[in-house]
Amino acid sequence: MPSDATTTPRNFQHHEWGPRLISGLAKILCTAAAAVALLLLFVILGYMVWKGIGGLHWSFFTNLPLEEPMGMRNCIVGTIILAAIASLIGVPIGMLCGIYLAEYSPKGWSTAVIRLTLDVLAGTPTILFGVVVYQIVVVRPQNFNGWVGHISLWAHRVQSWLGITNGYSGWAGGLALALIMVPIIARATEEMLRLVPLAHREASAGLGASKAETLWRVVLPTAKAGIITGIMLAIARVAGETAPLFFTAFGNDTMVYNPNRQMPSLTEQIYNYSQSDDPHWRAQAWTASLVLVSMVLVFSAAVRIATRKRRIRTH
Amino acid sequence: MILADTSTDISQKAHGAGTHGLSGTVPVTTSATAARQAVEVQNLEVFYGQHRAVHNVNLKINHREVTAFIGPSGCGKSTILRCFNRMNDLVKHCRVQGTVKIHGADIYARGTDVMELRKRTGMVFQKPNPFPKSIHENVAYPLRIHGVRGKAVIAEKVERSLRLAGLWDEVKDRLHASALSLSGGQQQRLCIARAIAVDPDVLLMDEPCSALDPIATKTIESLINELSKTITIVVVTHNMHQAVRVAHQTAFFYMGNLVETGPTDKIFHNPVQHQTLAYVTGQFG
Repeated sequence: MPSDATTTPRNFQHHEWGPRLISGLAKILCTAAAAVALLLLFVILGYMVWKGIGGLHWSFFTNLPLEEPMGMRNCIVGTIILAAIASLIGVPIGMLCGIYLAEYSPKGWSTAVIRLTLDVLAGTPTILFGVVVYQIVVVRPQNFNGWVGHISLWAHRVQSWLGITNGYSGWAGGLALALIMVPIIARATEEMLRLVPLAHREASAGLGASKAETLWRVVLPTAKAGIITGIMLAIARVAGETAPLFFTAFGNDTMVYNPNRQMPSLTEQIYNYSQSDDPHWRAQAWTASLVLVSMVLVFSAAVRIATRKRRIRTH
Repeated sequence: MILADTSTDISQKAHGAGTHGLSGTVPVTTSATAARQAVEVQNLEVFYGQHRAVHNVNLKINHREVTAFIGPSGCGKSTILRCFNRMNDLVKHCRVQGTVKIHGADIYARGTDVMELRKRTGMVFQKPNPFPKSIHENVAYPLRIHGVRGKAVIAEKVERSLRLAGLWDEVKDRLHASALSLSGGQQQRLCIARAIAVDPDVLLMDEPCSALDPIATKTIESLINELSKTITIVVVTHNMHQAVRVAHQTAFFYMGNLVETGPTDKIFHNPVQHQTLAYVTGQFG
């Protein structure tokens, strides 16, 4: 450092245009990208509303596909049942998996492998989950050889014990969707638990709480909002799944409540109708899309309002 | 009274004899009226992996007195404090050797109930760390985990703790407001109320005022004085004036060694060790 550094005259005005130009460009590019993303989203949603709103009558919610005027009551109920089955299986497994990763797993390569596996699963094309469930649950196992056979055999035994039949069914569809949910929920839970400050855990331990008590009474309540958001995202995601349902729930034109039967869903119906030559059916597909998106929106908003943190009173 | 055990530390021996002009000082000796010891530390060594953070510390802490641990950063004073309720168990690669006895019981003995130990040995941390729950729930938490049931019983114990912590009058009308709505000083007093809710014998305070302003600090210090009538308090502090204000006894640590212990007045005005004198007169640290 030069010895006369302190005596060098300085002023703090900008001389160089380089940094200012780069800074300005970066701002413009980011704003533009955000604008493009928002614009695309609104174009898609707007187009959907424009095409779908015409078919929005009460009959859509009260009638079945083969009735006149045609409706999708069975598909709406089917989507709800499938999402419920998926949540019933996927939420506990995903949360426990996330809790294990954040709180109990040894730090080392095994945990890294589990985490990587979950990330890969989260990015796996979902049709694969449909095919796997198709092979294990839907198809009556014929061949019990090899390790695939063993899995099939055990799956078949568990299935019989639970009273779940072979063939396309709501159970199979729900299971496929649950497999999609698990990695999303596990990673969300893990991330949220890691965000809980060490200070809370230390405070609890210092008061004589066991690890389980600390987890149950301090850590999970603190991370609750974030975990619920993760679960909501997972449910919204599976509510929009189509491909795995073709291999598992398959669809049904009648009203079905029994998960042992083929189960209709909005997404599967949207696919079928959108392939049709009949413009009336294609309009129905648009309406179904609008209803599906609205259902997810209303559900997310409802859960968020129900679990909203009570406002902190300051006096 | 704390006994200034003869440390085996070499650097101390080197400085020990001269005492640098403090002629006429004699080593602190045991008093005939020695109070019951709340904590007794024998040959304590703490390792973080290969690094030895605490070297052969021998120390006695008197029942129902305030003892201050002073010393520069990294001298091991917090580490030793965290041995008293085995918080170091939570730190990976941390190993503790030697004996720590609380009211005569060896807390590192096999079969020790660590949850019970931590119930009887409350801890207050450097940064106020209330749970993101209501004021009431923060103080009720330790009661619940230690099996206290009944709304009325819990409410009564919560009130008593908050009164002891001098917080009751400030929060009695908003017990169900979030603890995070309190000021820093109030939060720290809430943490003290939480720690004393289950009647601990010993209260460990790890720099309890370092995140607080002078007025809040003063409040906490008078609280320490008040509480010491019924609870043994060990307070780690960076602030030497604080040690003078609150502590009956002071222990000075340096580089993982216990350099000197004794009555606070003596440590600050008439220390035996040259390092102690240098530290309390602000020559380093």
